Amino acid sequence: MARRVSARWVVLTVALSLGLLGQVQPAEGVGTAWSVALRAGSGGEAASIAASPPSGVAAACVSSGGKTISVSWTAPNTHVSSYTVYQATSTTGTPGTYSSVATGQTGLSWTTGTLTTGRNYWYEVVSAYSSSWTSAKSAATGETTISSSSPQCRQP
Amino acid sequence: MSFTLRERPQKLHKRAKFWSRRSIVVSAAIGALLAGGGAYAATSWVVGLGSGSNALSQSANVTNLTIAAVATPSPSNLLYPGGTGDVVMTITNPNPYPVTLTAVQLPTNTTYAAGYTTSALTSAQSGCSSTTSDVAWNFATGTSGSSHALTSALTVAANGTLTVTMTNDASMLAAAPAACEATFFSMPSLTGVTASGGAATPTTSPASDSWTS
Repeated sequence: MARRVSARWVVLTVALSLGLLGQVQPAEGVGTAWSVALRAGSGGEAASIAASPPSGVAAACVSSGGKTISVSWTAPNTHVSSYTVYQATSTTGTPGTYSSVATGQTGLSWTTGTLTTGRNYWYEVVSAYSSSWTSAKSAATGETTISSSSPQCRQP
Repeated sequence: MSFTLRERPQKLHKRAKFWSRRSIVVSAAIGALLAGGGAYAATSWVVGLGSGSNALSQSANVTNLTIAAVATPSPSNLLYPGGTGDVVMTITNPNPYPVTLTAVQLPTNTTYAAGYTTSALTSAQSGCSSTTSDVAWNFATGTSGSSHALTSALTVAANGTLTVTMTNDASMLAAAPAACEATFFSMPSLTGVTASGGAATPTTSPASDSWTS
């Protein structure tokens, strides 16, 4: 009866070899802790936000018979530290130059003092993330008029 | 190589027994040689310990890990003045066994990231360099090589990679220049990691982790 003795020998050899090779371990031993060096340039990637203006900036008469305007807005994110309100005024339908009228506002609204009769008002708001990180100005509000006739405060 | 035996049944039986024992011995010897060759290959990879790392006194016969910036953090957790943000990194393990990381060693808290205009990290952001960005690893100290334990151990598969988001592990000073707005940062190299090797279940990629102190 013929025997393939060498075949079994080969199979056994290969099986043993694979079993041992599959257990390649670090020279330090399994579970031993050590500090591993890193190749140069090892880091990762981070990114920063864009400074964004608030949205939904709107002006509203505090009361139709008064001469004060409330300006409100929606925060662009949770990282804004304060807001600056800019006001433009004119006697025509075209706003003049915007100038800062309120800085360091930490809430989401601001109310003017008593405004001048016969003038129109517009507002823009800027987000400030730090003393140097500020956003562009928001879109301007619509015109609000302080009139000499009733209602004194009106919007088109 | 193979050959055929033609023997009488009794002799065949004895020879079968003989060959069986002999084959086991020979196989074991050859297997040990081959395994020993594999172990030799492992010890032949020479790696020094990173300077400033909290290394053991013995040499580490492993191949260096590599950490690379290959992806941008989620827009939901980006850096801002006085705040923290995520860092995304890919860890590559070239060793023929899994490596499990349990801590990182950081450069100093004044080792800053370089800023770039895009996530490809190829075009420098003017005014936001590794000298001026004020972006560093969170919890880094004034001493290089400070060690910080990971919340969860990370296991990188043998000859494999693992992408992980380190939550809130970058920080930006409040005084960061406006030039660093809307910027991508290549974080400073870690000075080392604390790791162990051997059989372990690889962490599924991508993963999230952090150090919190």
